[in-house]
Amino acid sequence: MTVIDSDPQPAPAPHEDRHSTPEAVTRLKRARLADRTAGRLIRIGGLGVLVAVVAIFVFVGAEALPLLRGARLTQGPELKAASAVAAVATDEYVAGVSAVLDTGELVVLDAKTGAVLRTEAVLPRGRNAVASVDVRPNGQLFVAGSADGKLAAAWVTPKVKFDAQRVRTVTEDVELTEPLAIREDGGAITRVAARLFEEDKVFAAVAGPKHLSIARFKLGAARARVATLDAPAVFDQGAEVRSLSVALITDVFRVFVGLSDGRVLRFDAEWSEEPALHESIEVSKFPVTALDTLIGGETLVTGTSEGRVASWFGVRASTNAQSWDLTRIRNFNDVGAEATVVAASARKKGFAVFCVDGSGRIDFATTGDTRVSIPASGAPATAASFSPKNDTLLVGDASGRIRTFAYSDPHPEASVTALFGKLWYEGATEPEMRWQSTGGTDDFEPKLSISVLVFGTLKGVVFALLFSVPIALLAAIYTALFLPTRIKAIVKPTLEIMAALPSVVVGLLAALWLSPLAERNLASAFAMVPSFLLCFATLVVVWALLPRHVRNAWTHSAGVLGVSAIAVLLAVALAACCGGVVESMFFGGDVKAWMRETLGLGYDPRNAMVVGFAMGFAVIPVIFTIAEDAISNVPKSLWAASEALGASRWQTTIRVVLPAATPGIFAALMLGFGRAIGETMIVLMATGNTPILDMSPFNGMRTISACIAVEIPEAPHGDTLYRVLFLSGTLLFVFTFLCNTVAEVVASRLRRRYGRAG
Amino acid sequence: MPMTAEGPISTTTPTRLDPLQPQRARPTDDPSAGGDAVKIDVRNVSFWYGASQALWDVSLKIPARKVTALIGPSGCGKSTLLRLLNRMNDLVPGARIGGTIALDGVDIHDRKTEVEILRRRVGMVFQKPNPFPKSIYENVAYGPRIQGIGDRARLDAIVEDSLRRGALWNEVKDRLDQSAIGMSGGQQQRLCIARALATAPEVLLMDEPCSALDPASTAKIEDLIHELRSSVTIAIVTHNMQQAARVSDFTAFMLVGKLLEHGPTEQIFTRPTKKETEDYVTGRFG
Repeated sequence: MTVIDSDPQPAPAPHEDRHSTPEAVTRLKRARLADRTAGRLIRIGGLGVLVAVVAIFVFVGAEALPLLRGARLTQGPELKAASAVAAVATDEYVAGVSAVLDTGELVVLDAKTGAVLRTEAVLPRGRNAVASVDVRPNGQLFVAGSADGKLAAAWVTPKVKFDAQRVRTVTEDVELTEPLAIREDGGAITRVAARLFEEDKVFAAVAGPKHLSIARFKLGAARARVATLDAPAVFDQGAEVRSLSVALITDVFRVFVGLSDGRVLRFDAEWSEEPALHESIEVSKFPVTALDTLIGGETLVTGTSEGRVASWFGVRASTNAQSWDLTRIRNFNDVGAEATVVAASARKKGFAVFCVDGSGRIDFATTGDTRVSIPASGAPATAASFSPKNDTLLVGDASGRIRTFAYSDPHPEASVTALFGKLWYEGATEPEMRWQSTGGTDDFEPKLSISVLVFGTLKGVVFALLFSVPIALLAAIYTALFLPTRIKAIVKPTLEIMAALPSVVVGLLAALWLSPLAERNLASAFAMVPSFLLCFATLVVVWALLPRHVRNAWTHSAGVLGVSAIAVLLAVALAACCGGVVESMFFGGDVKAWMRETLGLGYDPRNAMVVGFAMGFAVIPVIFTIAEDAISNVPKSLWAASEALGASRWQTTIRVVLPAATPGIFAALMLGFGRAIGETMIVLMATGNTPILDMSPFNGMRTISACIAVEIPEAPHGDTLYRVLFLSGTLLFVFTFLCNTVAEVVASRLRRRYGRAG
Repeated sequence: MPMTAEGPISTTTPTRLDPLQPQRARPTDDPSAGGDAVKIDVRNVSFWYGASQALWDVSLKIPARKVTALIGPSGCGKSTLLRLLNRMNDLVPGARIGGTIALDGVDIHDRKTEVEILRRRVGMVFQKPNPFPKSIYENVAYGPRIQGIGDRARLDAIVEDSLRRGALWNEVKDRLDQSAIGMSGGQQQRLCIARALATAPEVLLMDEPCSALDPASTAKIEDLIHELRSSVTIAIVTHNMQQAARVSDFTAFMLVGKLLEHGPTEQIFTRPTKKETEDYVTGRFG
């Protein structure tokens, strides 16, 4: 091709060899080089695209991958105290480990070396002291009770100093509250639990085997306000107190008492108010030997003498019910032996549970998963707590050993059930799928159900396609087969320009113009459907009545467009006029009220209907263009063959052209689907972003793409939410990928089946 | 696909027809038709593609149950004339026709003539085989189905009969459900003929049916034309002089839109009256 010489040769010799001259050879070589270079460049380009796609997938997937990582627990130094540990805690630096022993002493040990840094007598030296600890970000409140009915408190706070080399040294300050006589009868205190309230107030629940009282005092005070709780009926039946816990929810103290008959009592009190018994629930047939409330105070975890562990929280009988009852939410794996300690995690809704052989486990309450197991120590675990930063777990046992574990579990919330299934979240009336990624407080329970987002995405797509597919396909058929070439040359580019409209503009219009308009004129919006059908049906009838030459003249000019435009305007005008009448005639003057009362449907201004309309607007050009091309590309010879056999235009369209164009039409639909599924701005602006599972066209949804756009700027880097968003992005990627692959496979099959067309 | 006009193309000057008064052409005896009944009577037909005129005052009588060949150099208007006979040019934008074409004495542009019915009576086979991307069976059954024949047994009978008449039955009877696209070119063309025969046409128009085929396939098609002659009127456009001589009873020679000569094939090829005809049939130009 490159060797053709266009210069007129002056009478070439009949057998002149023009193909082996040096110029020809050079030219051929150059052409070959160009071919090879182009081939390589194209191959590099193609491979580059493949690599880029895979790289994006790998990057996005890699961000989500750590969600799969389980908890990590590594045993740290083992510390030794002189006697059985009654309560143990550490500061946020994990510098000093403080423990109250059953001798009534408080010891502060170096967390690394185990060296005794400090020893204080909280109670007069004796035996069988009990204690509990409330670990706060700024210190640890130990409360200890003695066998002779006295209660003492120790407020341990870390003091941080930096020396000249900027080396940090942490020393523990101890502020003791002298023993206060709580039990007038001098009976033993066998269980104690306390919470610090407003800086320096201590709310302590105190129990003997058959005694319950509440002591309230200020740190350092010489007296306590004591209220004996009235539960003699329980004690008369032979029950004894086996475990005790106090939760503080805003300013209400909730006291849980685990009894030897398997029941748990709940008392509620405010600081200045007398406690009252609110509930008594049967947890088990066996003694409730350990209990604690998780962060936030709503969820109670109980452990029994035969090793059963369960979580409970208040559930309202119905959404509108005033009162709630503690309900068993979840059973965890058995610990195998008597549970002795339950310790709530300091950051998330996890907890550690230990039993008599010193073995234990960390479970995550929201999902019910066991995150990690802790080996037995040989002696019964008697105390456990997490450090304020939740990075260290301390376990004390009856032999005075304190084991420390470095603990890390960044994404306990991301289980398969949490992401894709139903979970029973705090405060809910039943297990559900929910997306609520952030709350106002640290003790918020994140609800990260990707299913909700997938549902929202599909809902948006379904409504968009419901609106756009019929219009786009009919328009494509009409344009390709029935419209004169001259008008087609105007119509097609015009529709394609629709695709160039930035989706943010479409979204803006949908959110700020269409959605209020539709809400104000809801009846008219509904009337639009019959109105359009009526107007176009009338148009068709009128058209058929027109004389043939008028019709011919109009089909060849833009007249047909003008007529259609008039029909559209008429339809809109009719709907607008009829709206009010229809509303008062059929809907009692208010469509929204009628919907709510008769159909039980709410109406959100930003809803799937509006989104379907707006996103459909964005999808129509995609489907239209490709489908129109596919139909136009059906060989004219097929058309001629069908017509020559006496088929009408419509028969030819239905029986020959459309089947032959099926692969292309299918590809158009899949592309439209892909466009709708990945669409962000329109759904972001027009859906209201309400993460609800409801197929109603009159409320919103939250799609994956919009959710990523909204939440990724606020998601802390490396946080569970951040990774879950990346996971949903990966899902979207896989979804689109599968969609396109399936589309391609199906299209190529159809192509093979329908031969050359498409 | 230029799907523009609706209804027939306008019939205007020079011999404008009054659409309200369909002309009923009188069956006439024509010396060239050798006394046979005239199936299609083309009278003074001129034809325009927009501003350019393609046919000039063409008159031709096609006798029933004979093979009439239209020959002439490329662009002489023979395909245009052929396509006029079943109004395949209707949908060409800006097409205009003058004169009349009568099928069995009835003007095919008459308002009472439905174009779909006309095309069922006057079938067509195209230059390039154009089977539908469907099974062999469905290709043949297409026409009957369009006519509303849904009865399976009847369809089966029509399909078999058409394929037999198309000399294809023995080759495809075991694979009727396979795609027609997989067949050879010659088979495809015979399928197209069988497909056209399935609508039971009285006339079969063939527009260079062998130009895309190899000699063996061409021979089969020519045999087929011989077979069909007894039952169907055939008009065939061909570039191949030998083919025209072999298959046709009558030959019409066209040149730049005009019908120059028309008569029994033997006469055209041996004793043409016009110099141009002689030059053409002897291969001096073309």
